[in-house]
Amino acid sequence: MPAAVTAIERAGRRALGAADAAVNRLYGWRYNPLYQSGTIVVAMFLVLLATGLWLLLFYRVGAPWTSVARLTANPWTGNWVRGLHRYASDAAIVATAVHAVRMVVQHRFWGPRALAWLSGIVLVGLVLVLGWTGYVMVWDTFGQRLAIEGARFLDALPILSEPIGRAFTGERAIPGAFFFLNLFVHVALPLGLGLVLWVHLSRLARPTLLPPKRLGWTIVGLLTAVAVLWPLEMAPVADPFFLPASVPADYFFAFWLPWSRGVSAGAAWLGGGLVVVALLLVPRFSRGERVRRPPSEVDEAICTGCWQCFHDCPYDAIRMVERTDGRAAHVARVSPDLCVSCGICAGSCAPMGVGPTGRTGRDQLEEVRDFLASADRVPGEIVAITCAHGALAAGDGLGRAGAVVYPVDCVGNLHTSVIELALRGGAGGVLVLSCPPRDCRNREGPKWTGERIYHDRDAELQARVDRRRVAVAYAGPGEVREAVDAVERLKATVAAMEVPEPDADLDLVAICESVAPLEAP
Amino acid sequence: MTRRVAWALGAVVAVGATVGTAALSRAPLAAYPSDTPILRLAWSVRPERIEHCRTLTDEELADVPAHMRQRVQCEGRSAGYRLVVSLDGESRFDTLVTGGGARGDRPVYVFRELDVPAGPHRLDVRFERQSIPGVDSVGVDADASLDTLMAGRALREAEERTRRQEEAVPPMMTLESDIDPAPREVLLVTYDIDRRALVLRTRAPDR
Repeated sequence: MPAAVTAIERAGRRALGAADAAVNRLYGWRYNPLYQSGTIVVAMFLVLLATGLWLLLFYRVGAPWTSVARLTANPWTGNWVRGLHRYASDAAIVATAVHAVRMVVQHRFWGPRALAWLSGIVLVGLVLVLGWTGYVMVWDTFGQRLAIEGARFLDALPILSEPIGRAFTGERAIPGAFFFLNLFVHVALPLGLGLVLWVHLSRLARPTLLPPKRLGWTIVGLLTAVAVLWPLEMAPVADPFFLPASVPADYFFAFWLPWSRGVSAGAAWLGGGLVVVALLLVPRFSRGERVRRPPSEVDEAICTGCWQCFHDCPYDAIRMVERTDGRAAHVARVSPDLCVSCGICAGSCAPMGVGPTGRTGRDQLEEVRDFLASADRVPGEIVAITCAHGALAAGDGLGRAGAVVYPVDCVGNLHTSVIELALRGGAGGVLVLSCPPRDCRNREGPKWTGERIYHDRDAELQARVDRRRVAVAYAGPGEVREAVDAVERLKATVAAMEVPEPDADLDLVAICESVAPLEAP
Repeated sequence: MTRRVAWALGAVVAVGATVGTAALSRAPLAAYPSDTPILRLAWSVRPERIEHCRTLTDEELADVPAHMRQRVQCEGRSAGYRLVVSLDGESRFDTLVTGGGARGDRPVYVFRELDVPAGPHRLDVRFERQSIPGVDSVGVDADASLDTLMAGRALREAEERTRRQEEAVPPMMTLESDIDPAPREVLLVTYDIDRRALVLRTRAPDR
């Protein structure tokens, strides 16, 4: 991959991290709308459905502008609903753009995730067409402008015997069939949208569809408030015999309109087609030299058939099948095509029999043992286990705060025995610094880690571990101060406790077997 | 940053983002920057079919598969038309238009917009069928009375040809008119199917 692309990606990650951190400071990670971009789109879709059904009651295909003007003149049940309908569609576009940028910058769009990327592009196309038909429905000067330009582009394709553009020249009244067809498309497309959304989410085991209630209702409230306090005005009716100097345009949907007149229809199709093809091929080419990480594997001799990895996998990449080796239980099988190598299954497996190569629980224990054996280790120090995608960026700050950084690929990948081993190796405390839950690249890493440490979810942190020495905190890549504050808090707690004596005999086999004794075949 | 400051700042950012979204949702777009009026030529007509027909003999018909037998056989093509637009005696547009479709037998669609300075002008529009060497003769030497074998089919075909001929655009149409377009006005020249002639329109027909 060219160095320039890598540099752009790095800059994008840095900018996104800074933006996330700034918004987290204002709203907290729970209500950070940048983390909720995908769910906000779905919430706006629901708002559009509700307001759209209401507006549909008053729309007349025989008198489009007049019926909308009557609705707009009604401040109680018309204008603000129309305004909310419009602003919700705009908010959906903004959230979609944020969502797409996040996915690209965080490399969450290729490999097994490519289907979500491709279906996402289709969704964007459908939303833009939906907006186009919505504005044409009004049949004001803006709708007319969109219709004329759209017809110009469509007429360049050799698919229709009669040019659509003929309808807008003024040689005859615009047929009611046109507005009926436009309305039909505007109403039918959301059904297609729902179908593609299902495909978009189909690879996820537990998709989150809606933002937290407080955030969702705040957005709806703000959009409603602006719709009430700044009422929409009706643009003049479309007139084929007059050229308006300007029209009130929605730039979220008509961002292309300022340039379209200077571009021939053929050039527009060529340019638009190239953009779409490039977007579709992004997952193919952006992988570049990056090697796809190996999917998880199951050691069937160790697997006890407990189903925990099956339950925890965020991508439905694990299924349970009957054993063939005589043991009664099931055994886990990984579908390599679905596995994104997140490693969450490694953290879920008590006997450490599943996970990506090199990142299984047993691999993690060996790594942390080597880490603890380093001559630099000081008894009583704080070990900050940091997610490589998040708080690792705060590594220097953590070091200055007196913590030693132990990076992991994702805290959801972390086996709780690593925490126990670190404490037995002499660490005064272990801080698990996770990405904020809604920003986990592997979707559910922080959620499962928290449950494993505090709520006995398999593979749980053993009861013998002193919980006062363990803390979980959330910090994104731009949140150095928050990460350092978490270290300081744990340091203060641990300072009141005895400095632990390092366990001289860190026998990994004993640890592994104490977690889940293997059942003899 | 204290919680209260964060809350206030967060509220300002949220309101600002919402108002910004609403503003971008209704921002003015320069649709037609120029005041210059436009002369729009827009119509769709069926082109004249120029063909040469002859009546097949009984022997010739016998050589044709039964389901393809037609007493009168015609060959030809759809006509092309020359469109010339002059303003104050000066030619502004001169082109040849043909029917749509791969064989050119679909309707002729004219759509063209020309800038016209505001003020009085003399407009002259001509739409004239072009000659087609070799087939430019409309002739039918068919004799429907010969149609004993085809049970009246030749007669029906003759009627169909006549109907198509009548539906086709006249071979020559002209429009001469004094115009006085105002700034930003659109003048429309179109085909009136009832009058079978080009007409000038300056405002939308009632819907």
